[in-house]
Order: sequence, then C-alpha cells, then structure tokens
Amino acid sequence: MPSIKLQSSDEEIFDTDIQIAKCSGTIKTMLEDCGMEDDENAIVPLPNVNSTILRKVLTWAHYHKDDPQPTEDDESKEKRTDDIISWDADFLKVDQGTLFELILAANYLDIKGLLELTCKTVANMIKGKTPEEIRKTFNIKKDFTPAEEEQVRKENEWCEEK
Amino acid sequence: MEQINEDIWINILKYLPMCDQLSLAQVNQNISSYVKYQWGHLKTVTLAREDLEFLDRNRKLMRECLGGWSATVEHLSLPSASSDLLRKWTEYSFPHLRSLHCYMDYNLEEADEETLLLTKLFPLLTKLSLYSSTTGRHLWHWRQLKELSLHWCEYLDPDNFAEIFGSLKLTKLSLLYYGYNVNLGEKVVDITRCSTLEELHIDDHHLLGDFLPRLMNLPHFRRLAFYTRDYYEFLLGSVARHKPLKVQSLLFNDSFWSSERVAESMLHMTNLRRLVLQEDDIDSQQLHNICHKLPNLEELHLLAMREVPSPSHLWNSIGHCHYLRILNLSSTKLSSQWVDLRNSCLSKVLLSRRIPLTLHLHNTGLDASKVLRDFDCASLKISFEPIHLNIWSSRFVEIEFSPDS
Repeated sequence: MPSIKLQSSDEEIFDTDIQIAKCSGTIKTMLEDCGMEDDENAIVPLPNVNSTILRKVLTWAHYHKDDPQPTEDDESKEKRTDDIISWDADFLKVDQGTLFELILAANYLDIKGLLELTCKTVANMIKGKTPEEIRKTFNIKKDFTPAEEEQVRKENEWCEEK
Repeated sequence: MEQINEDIWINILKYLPMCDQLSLAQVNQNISSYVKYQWGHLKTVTLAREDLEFLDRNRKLMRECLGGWSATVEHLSLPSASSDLLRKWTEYSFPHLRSLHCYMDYNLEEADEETLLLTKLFPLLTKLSLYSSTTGRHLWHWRQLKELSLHWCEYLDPDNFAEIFGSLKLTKLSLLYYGYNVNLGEKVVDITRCSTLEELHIDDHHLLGDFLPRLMNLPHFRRLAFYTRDYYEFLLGSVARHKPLKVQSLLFNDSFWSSERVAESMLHMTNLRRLVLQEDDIDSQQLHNICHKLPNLEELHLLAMREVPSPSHLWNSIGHCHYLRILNLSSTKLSSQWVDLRNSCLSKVLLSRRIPLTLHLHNTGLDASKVLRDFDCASLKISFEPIHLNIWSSRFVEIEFSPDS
C-alpha cells in the first residue's frame, strides 16, 4: 500500500496510507496539485494541526476508511443527531478543548464525515439547554450590556401587554 | 469555543431545531451574530408551538428571527399553530415561500377568517398541507397552488367545491379522513372541474357514483390512491368497466385479500405493467390467471406477504410473463427452495426467458453471500437491494393510468 508522510505543526511525521490520507479533501488536493502522490519521501506539512489531534484524526480516518462518500446536504430534511455509532461516541469521549480542536482540524483538513460527527456532538451538548445553561456548559461570558438587556426586557413587557 | 468560526457554527446550527437556535441567540453577541446570519439564509423552517409562543412574547427576537428568514424561506412547517399566534406575522412578507405545512388549532367559529389570514400571509404558495377547521372558503385565493392536501379538514363545505376546483389549477389533491365519519355528498364530484388534476388521494366511499368515471376522463389524470375498507371491489370493477386499458400499475397494500372480484377485474387490464401486493394474500390460481392473461406485466412485487404460493406454483406462473423484468419477493420469509436451480419449474422458466429477470430478495431470511455464490445464471439476476415503494397508509389501493391510451 503506497504511503505518504504527514507533518504536524509540532513537526512529528506520520507515515500514512495514501488512501487514508486522501479522506482529507485538503491533503487530496495538495497531493494531486503538487504531483506528490508518487514520491514516497515527500512530506505534506499540516501547520494547523498538532500531533495529538492529527493522531486522533488518523485513527478516525482509519476506522472509517471504507465508508461511502457523504452525500450532498438536503436542507429540506431535518438533520438527525441521534445516529452516532457507538465507536464514534467512544472516540469523542474527550475534553471540550480536544473536541473543538478536532472540529477545527476536520474543517481545515476538509474531512466531511468527521466534521459532521463533531458538529453533531456539539449540537447534542446544546440541545434542550437554556442560554444560561449553554454559557455554563461551554464557559462562555455573557457580553450583552445592561442597557441592551433592559431594552429587551421593556420590549417584551410591551409585547405581553399588547 | 471562541476559536469556532462562522462556517463551523453554521454547520452546528443545521443540527439544531429552532428552540435551541433561539437559546443560542441569547448566549452572547458573537454567537448571536452567527445565529442571525444563519436565519438570514434559511430556506426551510420548522417552528414548534413553543417557538411560536416564545416569539410572540419576545419582540426583539421575533424581529431578528422572522425578520431574518421571512425573506428567504421557501418551505415552512408549523406543526401546531393558531390564528392568534400568526396575526402579528402580518408585519412580515414571505416572497419566496412556496410550500406550507400547517396544523391549526380547532377554530370553527373563525375558520374562514383564519383561512383568509393564511392566504394573506403566504399568498404565493404552490404547495399546501392544511389541517384546520376550514370550510374551504377563501382557498381559491391561492391562485398559484398546484398541490393541496386537506387531511382531516372535517368541516369542509362541499358548497365551496365548485369555486375551489373551478378556479385552482391543481395537479395533486389529497382529501383524507381515514374513515366514514365525513361524507362530502354528491358535490364531491365538483373536484372534476379541476381539469389539470393529475393525482388524487381520497377515501373510497367518496368515489362512488359518477365521480370515478369523470375522474378517469380528466385529460391529465394519472394516479388515484384511495384508503379503503369496503368499496375496493366495486371501484376496481368500475375501473375495469370504464378504462381498463389505461391502467398501467396497481398497488394493493393490505387490500387485495385474495378477492375473486378484484382478480377478475384485473384480467381486463391487459396493459398492466406493474403489480404490487404488500402485506396481502393471493392464492395460486389467481396469480396464475393474472400472469397468464396479462402478457405485458414487467414488474411483480409480492412484499411481506401473509401467504405466498409455493415455489413451483410461482415459477410456473412466472413462465407466462415473458416481459417480466422484476420479481420482488422482499420482506417475505423464503426457504432456499425458491432459488434452487434443481427445481424443474425454475429451470424450465429460465430456459424459455427472452429477457433477463431480476429477482429481489431483500430481507427474506436467505443468506445473500451463499445465494450469490451458488447462483450463476444469465437469465436470472439476484439482488438483495431493497426497492423503496411509497407506502403512505395502511389499507390502500393505488392505480396509475397511462396518459396516452
């Protein structure tokens, strides 16, 4: 099986099957555009992904290497979030920092399946929560000014009186 | 989370129903801006009852939310709404909205005002599924409507039918109550004023009298589906008397029940190309007669059958169908005898075939790898792929007519 060398932002080299590396649209384009496919010594730099995350991404890509290509979005259909397989659920039992780094990596590397999975996981963490609960879950600061909040409160009062 | 950019937020928002999007819009300025951006591009929107009530109480979010997607939305679904909750929407316009699915509260006293409000809010609809107390009055204001579904609109007044169906140029109509509690009377025949009609879903008892023959005379009419309990034999007989040669497909979902009368009627439909029975019964002799007398049959689907003829009987019958391309026995439990080439009936059929036949065996209990390994025959291809059919109800009959005979 032909392989390719991927270099993480902290300069670790990952010898990777070309077939697995090509599940990334970004790497696939780089290989094809730069004619690197036949050069076993060529190194593909990935400056936006560190070795910890790249290792996890490649583990995911290896497990899903035989998956069919994700189909185009059909906006009219409601997107499900309850169809995550147990391997993926276990794979994503990570801290929030790692989860968000995986989302960023999936986005940068253009791996549609992993991006869908990680976005679904975040969506599941949001579902059913109040704004305050969402802030707590993700440690987000409320940055609306008191004046803005007062204006909303007044408008809503007006709304209820109407 | 601060590193998550707009593209990724848009991706996350696609997995969230409106109630969670409304919560996110109140989290902080940054996230609120992504949510509002998304609202400004939505083409499909579903608002639950709680969302409508929440927006009704929150003027600012109403302005941002509705003000955002009202300009882009094409498909809107309101699974539980009321006139009171929609009245404030008159401040907005929906220039691209073409499809509305709307389940309104019981409101018989203001039914006509409610319909009028909907026609004013969403004037450009081409597709409407309405569940309401409507009498039908004002429906004719939707001049561009092509597909109309009025399920469980129990208060429809047939006196309005002449105006509705005389003015709208519908292609699809659905009037379903799933029972005999509503009888629209003789004026139901006014539906046939709609000369553009191509498809109709209806309960069987409304098709009695002069309605069915008139329907079949409509120039573009090509598909009739009726929920049935009692009148399927009469209605199939009527089709066989009036337009037997126009019938090109018949689908029975738990509605054939080995009926001698229906089987007899079918024998007149000699242009029949496709026959589907699902969760049904047919006896060996009936199937043999159908295969023998309907020479143009190209597809035979016997799905999840309560009882099927024996392999020898079935293959003997199939021997008469020289143009059959698809035999679908999916979802019926079968033994390996069905694909045993040592079965003399099967081998005889295969020898005399002019065109190859594909046998679909999805979910039959047969071992796909074993069958595919052992079976090698040019005139019979085996597939374990499912064929998806539109099974929209229990107990129905669907008739497709060819437009050109």
